[in-house]
Amino acid sequence: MVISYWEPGRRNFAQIRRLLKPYPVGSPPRLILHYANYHAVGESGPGCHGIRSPVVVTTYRDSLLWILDRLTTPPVGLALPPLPTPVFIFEPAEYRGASDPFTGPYMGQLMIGLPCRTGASERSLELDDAATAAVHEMCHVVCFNQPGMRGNVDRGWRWIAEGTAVWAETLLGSDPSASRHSKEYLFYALNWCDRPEVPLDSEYGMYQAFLFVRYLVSRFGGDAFVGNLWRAARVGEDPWNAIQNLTGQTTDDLFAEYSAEAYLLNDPASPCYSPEVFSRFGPRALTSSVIAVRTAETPIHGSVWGLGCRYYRVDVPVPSSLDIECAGDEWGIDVTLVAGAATASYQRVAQVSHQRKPGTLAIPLTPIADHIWLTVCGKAGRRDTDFSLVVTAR
Amino acid sequence: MYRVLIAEDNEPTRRRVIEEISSDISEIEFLQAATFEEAEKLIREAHADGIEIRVAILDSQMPRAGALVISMDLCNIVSAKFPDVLVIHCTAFAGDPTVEKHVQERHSARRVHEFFPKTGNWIEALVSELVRDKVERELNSFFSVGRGVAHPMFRQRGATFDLADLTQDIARYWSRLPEETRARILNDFDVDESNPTRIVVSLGGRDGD
Repeated sequence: MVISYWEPGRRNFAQIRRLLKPYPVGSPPRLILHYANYHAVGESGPGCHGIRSPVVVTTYRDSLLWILDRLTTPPVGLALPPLPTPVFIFEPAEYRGASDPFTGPYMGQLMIGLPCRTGASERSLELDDAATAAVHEMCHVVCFNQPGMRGNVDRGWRWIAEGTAVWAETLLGSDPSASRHSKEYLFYALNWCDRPEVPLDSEYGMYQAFLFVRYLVSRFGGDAFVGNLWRAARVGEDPWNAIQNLTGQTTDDLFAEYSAEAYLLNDPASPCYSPEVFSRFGPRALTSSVIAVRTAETPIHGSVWGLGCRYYRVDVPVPSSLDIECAGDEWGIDVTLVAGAATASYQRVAQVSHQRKPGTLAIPLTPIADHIWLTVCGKAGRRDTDFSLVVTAR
Repeated sequence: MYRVLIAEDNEPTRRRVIEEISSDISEIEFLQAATFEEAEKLIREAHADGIEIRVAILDSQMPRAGALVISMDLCNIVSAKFPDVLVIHCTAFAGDPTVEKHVQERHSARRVHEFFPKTGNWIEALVSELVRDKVERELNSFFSVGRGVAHPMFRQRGATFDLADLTQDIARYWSRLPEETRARILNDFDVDESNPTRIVVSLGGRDGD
């Protein structure tokens, strides 16, 4: 076989696979790493499919084994994949035009494709990426290999699979035993902060769902929740059924509570407490901010879609209390309001309240309250829903 | 989302087409129009909202301002707004010279194709055409053929689900795909047909030079 290195082009997987050698890892083997050295002795030169530094391979290996162990031992305790996972380390861009890592079907099981090279300016950045990619993809392999999934990358579970995989990435930033400490997952927090209106379980929100998984873990029994969730996973079933069974709450109530808590990223008492997200990107984006004037009515109009939400900030110059009138029939049916008072550093002062029916909600203001935040939450399966609020300071 | 515009003034026909397509293709959304004006409005709104129409199924004659008109202008409008759209003209009048002229002039250089005369199993043929289009789009997407700028919220990292969609659809539609599409697939994938009720698709491909 002749490969013309001067001409970039797409080679198929079979051609690339022939350039790589398999190396079983673990006893019994947990992984079969397939790779080739950039300058091998007595072998075909793999060109762009070669590994320049053994540290890349060891970082992949250690991260794959670390997350495999983390997910398959208590408290998560998921089942091990039935066979050693094939991992191909090559240049995916030469194969499919993009260098993203991926998980895919291979000889009746799931394989992982990981990039053998990056153009990162420093080796440490390359290794951060390598560790993160390995953890992310191995998490997919473990989750989709649970008995109810049978190796199927089931469409309905994809959003929570991505949320789980990025949640697994966050462990790299917090677990002292991690193979490498990396906070690459913060990349996804940017859009999570900026786009709260994107439905949680849509294809546009799936990576960002890691903060929902973090909320579930924090609120419902720690890391074991992830194990319970994926043990309950079944092909063709809606993951919300499993989440409802495990939490004892309806999807809409859970989403409303999560959305309100997500405003309190900097509050250690909140299950959404994420100081690293708050310090990097700040609080979640406001749709608008209003100043409530005593006795004058301030209208707020907006719309939500599915499990998306919108945040409003209400400043009250003279603290006393705030009345929020939910106008229209959509309240409690298509949308939910959650309101509360927060300090200037986004920590909760007043208890959050749900408003399910049309009516008026009164929030008492204490001296340490800096502002009121309103969270208007959509509901599962509802499309574009308009809503109206009127706020009045008393 | 695989989004299909159906411009068809006959409501039972429209409903039947939607039912048959829906029974075969999942993750699909329909935009329905009973008149020329409705279709034109849907196309313009979708374009303004950044919603891509992948397929336009156009009845060759549509009511416009109370009269029946040849709907070829709709083809021009939707093609101008969505250059990658697959336009399928359906007609009860095979051999209509106006329609044939339009196809020769407008479709010869594009990836759009012949008519579907509304005879025999025309809806079945229509669905097969959509299946071919869907699988080829997934192949193009996975192999980055003609990929534009990614939506920043969507293509952040990972091709796992593109690959899952592609391999699941290859398995599901394998027996209905044309030879040309199958040959393209076999270059990159192994397709195990030993159990016709459960075709297994795997990364692999032909081991050629």
